[in-house]
Amino acid sequence: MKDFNKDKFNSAIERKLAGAEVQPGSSVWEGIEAELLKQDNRRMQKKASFYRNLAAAVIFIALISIYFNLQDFAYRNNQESTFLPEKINILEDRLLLDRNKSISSIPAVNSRNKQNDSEQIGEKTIGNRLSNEKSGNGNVLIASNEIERSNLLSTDENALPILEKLEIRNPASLSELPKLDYKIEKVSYFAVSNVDKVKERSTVRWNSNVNVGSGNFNPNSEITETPIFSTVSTLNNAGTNARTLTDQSSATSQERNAVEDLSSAPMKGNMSFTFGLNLGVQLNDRWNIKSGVQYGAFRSTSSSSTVLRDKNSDKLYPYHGASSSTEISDGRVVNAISEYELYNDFQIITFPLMLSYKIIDSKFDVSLVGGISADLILRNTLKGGSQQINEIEFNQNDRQSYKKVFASSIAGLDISYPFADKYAISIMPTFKKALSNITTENATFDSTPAFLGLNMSLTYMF
Amino acid sequence: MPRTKELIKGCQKGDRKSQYELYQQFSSGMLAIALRYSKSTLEAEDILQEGFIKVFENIKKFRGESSIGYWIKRIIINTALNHQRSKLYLYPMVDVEDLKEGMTSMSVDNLAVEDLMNLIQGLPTGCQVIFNLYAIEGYHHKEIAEMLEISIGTSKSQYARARKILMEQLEKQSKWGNERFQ
Repeated sequence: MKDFNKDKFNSAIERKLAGAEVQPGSSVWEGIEAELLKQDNRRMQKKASFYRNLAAAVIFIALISIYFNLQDFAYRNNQESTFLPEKINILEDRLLLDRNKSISSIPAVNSRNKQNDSEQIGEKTIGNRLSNEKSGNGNVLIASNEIERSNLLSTDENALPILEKLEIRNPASLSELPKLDYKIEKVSYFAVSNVDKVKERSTVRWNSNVNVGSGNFNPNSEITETPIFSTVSTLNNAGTNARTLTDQSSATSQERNAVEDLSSAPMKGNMSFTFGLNLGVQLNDRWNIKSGVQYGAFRSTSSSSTVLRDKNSDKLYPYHGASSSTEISDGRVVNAISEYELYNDFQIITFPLMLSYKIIDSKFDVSLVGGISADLILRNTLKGGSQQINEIEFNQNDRQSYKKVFASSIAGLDISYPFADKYAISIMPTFKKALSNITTENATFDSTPAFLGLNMSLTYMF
Repeated sequence: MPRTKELIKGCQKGDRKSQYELYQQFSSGMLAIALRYSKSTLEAEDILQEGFIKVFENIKKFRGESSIGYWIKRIIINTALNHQRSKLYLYPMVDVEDLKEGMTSMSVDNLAVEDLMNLIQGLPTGCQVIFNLYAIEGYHHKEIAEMLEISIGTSKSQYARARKILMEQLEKQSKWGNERFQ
């Protein structure tokens, strides 16, 4: 709603200020970015919380399934160990002969408690039931066993056709049962689900699986130590010239403490992603051994209020006391800035060797998994959550804080569901931890990375 | 323009690089606006920072019905008003006085942008905001009254006061300039 009736004075001011520009300081964007990062983190936490809940739900459902499988397993074991043949007493259906001389059956209700009573009643009434039980509409009520045994049957004019039909209904042996003349193409899973599997003992079978996983990776939650090489760098305010201090004066010590405070927030695990391919051998119906190759992109986060400034290029690099100490060199100094988010990203190739033992062999197979792995760090980078902070890649041998290769132990629980004869899908909660400290001599901190994740895989059994 | 559209799309996806580029494109213009509504550069930068955070938070709602520059400007002005709102009533109201018609646009034209900005910043907060909204942004007194939840009379009186102060300042500067060159 512009007012076009302004006088010349207003117009002159408006004209003068139109297009006026004033360059803001760099701290404005840093503040904006810090706030946006906080919002991103809040969103990430919500997402992570969702996936955690989803994983918990999956595990819960799996545990429920295991419970019911165990019930089934225990029942069947009990059946196998204490099976006693038991004579089954079946009450015969009562037959109804209608006026059209066709037979209908009335199902008998069987009850163990009432069985004896029924038999007694049967004995008492056997002689006169057929002759006496005539319904109002002329139908005759009979019992099939009684018909065969009763001489009275021959006296009834309806008896012969009934007897012929009863002989068909009650063959002398199973071999005389009429055969179906059509082919059975499909059988319901539920109809055969309780049929015992044919056990193939000591049969070596190959299998392969592809898997994807996600989890939480942490190089070490304890690495908060901040080593500062006072001979080559010291804290100074952003934008000022660096000073190189070699003495151990109290001022230097204070600065060192300040750097430690500003750059030693704990490393926290973050969402990670893995995928891979395994080839396995099923040694028998319980033991399985598998190996393969896995690729993982792992991220851990922290915060820092210090950066490394390259004195020659004036470029800024992220700095975390525990993760980037080896990046400090003669040309770089530590600068204090506003707090920013810091990401330590690892790309690791893993060669696992895992042995699994099936503890439950049912609809859902459950196996305990243990193993070791050789892990090869492909890439280790440190990123700052700001456009103004460049990425550091630890690609030079003398600047690596972590060993290139290390060994880890693996433990997990594999819950799989076989289907379509040759396939199985499975989920496997996994915990993996390095066997020993994986840092190099250059680093002044120890690290034994741990990974907690959930793998999902599709297996093909040859 | 297509580049700006790409930036907006990037910002809507939360891409930090696009956000930074959009900020780079508009921040200096917006700081000049924020300066007119504040007393110092520091305060203006606070307004700018808060304003751009709101921009990135709400950019998904931007439908392109107006230009992105105008949309950001509205957010910056609203943020500035929120900053100044508490200070609006700290100054006594004055009656509307007859405006001097003798002062022409010549005095303003001879002034540097920085000096004019300083003069506006030197105005009491209440009339500074109203002067900006009426004289520069082009709002009616009725609209200003609704925006700031004040009476139309107050808006008019504050504007008149601002204008009077500015003209006095310009007159002083003009005299000082003339004396200097005589």
